[in-house]
Amino acid sequence: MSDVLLTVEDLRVTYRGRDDGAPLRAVDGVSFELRAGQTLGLVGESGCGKSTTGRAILRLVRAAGGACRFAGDDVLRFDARRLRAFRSEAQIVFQDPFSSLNPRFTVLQTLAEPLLLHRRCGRSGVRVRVAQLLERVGLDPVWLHRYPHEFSGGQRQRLGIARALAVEPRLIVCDEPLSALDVTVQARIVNLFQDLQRDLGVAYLFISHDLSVVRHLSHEVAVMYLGRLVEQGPAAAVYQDPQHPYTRALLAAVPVPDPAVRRERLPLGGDVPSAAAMPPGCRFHPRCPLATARCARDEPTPRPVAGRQVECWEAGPPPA
Amino acid sequence: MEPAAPAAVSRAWLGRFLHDAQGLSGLLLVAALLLAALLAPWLTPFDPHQQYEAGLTPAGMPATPGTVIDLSAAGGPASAVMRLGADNLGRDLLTRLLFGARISLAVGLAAMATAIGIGALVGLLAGYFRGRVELLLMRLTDMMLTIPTLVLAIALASLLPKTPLQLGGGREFPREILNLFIVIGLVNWTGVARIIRGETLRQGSMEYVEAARALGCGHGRILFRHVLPNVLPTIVVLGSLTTANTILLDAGLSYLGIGTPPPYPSWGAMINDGQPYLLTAKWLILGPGLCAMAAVLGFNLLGQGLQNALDPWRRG
Repeated sequence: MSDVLLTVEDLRVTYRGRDDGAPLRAVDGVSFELRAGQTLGLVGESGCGKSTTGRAILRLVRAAGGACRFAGDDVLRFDARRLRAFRSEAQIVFQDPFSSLNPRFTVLQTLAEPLLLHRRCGRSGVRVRVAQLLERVGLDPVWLHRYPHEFSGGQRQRLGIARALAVEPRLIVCDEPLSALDVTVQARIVNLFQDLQRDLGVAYLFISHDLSVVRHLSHEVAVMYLGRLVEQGPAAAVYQDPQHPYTRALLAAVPVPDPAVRRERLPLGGDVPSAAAMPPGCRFHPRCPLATARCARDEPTPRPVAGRQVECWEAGPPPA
Repeated sequence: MEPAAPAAVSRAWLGRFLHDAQGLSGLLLVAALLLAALLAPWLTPFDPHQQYEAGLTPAGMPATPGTVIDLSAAGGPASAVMRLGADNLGRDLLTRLLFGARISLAVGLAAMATAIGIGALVGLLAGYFRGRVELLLMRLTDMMLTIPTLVLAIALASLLPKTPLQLGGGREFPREILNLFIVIGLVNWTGVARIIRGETLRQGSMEYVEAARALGCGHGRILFRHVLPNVLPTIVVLGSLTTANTILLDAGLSYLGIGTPPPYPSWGAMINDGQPYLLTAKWLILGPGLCAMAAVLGFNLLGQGLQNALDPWRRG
């Protein structure tokens, strides 16, 4: 087992509510570990706080509490100098390859910026290094002077990946990097992510609402619901034998590419409640098929069930 | 490898502009006026400040268009024609229109630069920093907007000093002209600030700005290297539209006697001079009036054409 690169403990992010309403708890006590060179898949419905989690770890949004230890030091307490150095150790790849590249920057300008900002090479070596980066992500290095609008979505996403790689980070937060792409292009980008991890040893926090993509890439999986992780553990275990009723429902909703296979469907009732008006007790109980009176009263805490952490009163063997 | 998108031409806006009747006619009008202003001394044999005896009828009325003047004493042609006649003091009207274009356009453009400079900076800062900075700057903008432009301009103009600027070599430059563009700039930046703030908000929500933050770019770098170039098309359009406003306000203030001091020609002041002759010598008012109208129309059309070309999805 490799070393732990990132330890997130009880991370909280709150947004100010509208019109002085209750603060919106977007991330409400999230804890996980990410090992160097591995991938943690963070899945959940849209609005559950997974992107906010990724951005809080990178200090792109302000955390309200908790700790994020990156190689031992708490990112949330970095001063300006240490934060600047951290910017070269942890990077992000965005969802929308159209808005994530500055339309007025050429490929060279886009990729030279991180290199020069973090002194990864001198001015004279920039072109060579940029060409290397382009080749690394599968783009033709002759395209140095092209603008983003001259590329397809998949090519732009490769540029976004190259920009993140330029500073040679140890962690890349991938914020739904595939969901804006065609399925055929998705597969190639997934392969690129895997090649890069194998060759460079970079760790991914891979955020997605698409469970089949995450299964392919992840060593560990964490399932998020309304700002909390309801189940996390080794990817194979979570996928083969989901313990939390929410994970089960999510997996049951994934289409199976074999018409002969009939699976139990667990339709979820209702919509995700607003994080500004959190239900009492277990926040999943209004939609949960297993909910009891206790679920409406007491908030569950993570418990070890079948080799992973599950936050549910009803999962696994009854607690002693 | 994914197929490349067809290589779109990054200068596509120029092609759109050249096929836009509005923009082209605006460009032609503006170019013609600018050329006339630049070439003024070569386009006319007359001196803009010289009062000619033959420029007034024996009854003291302005000479009619077509009056011939002998300029041989001043080293000019023996029979120079006053094509648009003379003004109330016997000066050649066309000459004063041409030299007046220099002052009116220069004041208009300088005032536009002042307004755009202040407005763009306020808008960029408010739209980028949000929070208290935005609250402070935008409430200040709202406050400015509550004061009627003309009243504010008159009040500001009366506060500024009037002593002429010494240019060296004994030449003087009337301070009023300098004051004029400062004043006009100061009352015209609010609309610019509001629009630039909106555009900056839109750009600031794009992920490339967040990517720049994640790379460790400072605020100054993000604002001026990343956001500003993307806001620039809007600034260019606003520049042209604002110039139409500033030229109009310049004419208005000069007409009221607050702008360009005599004997300097400026369209607004010339309309004022010609007012008593409205029924007897229409050309005194028609000339400068049409010039101001052409300039305002030209810059408005140019601005609209630029908007159509640079932002074809938001046709107004």
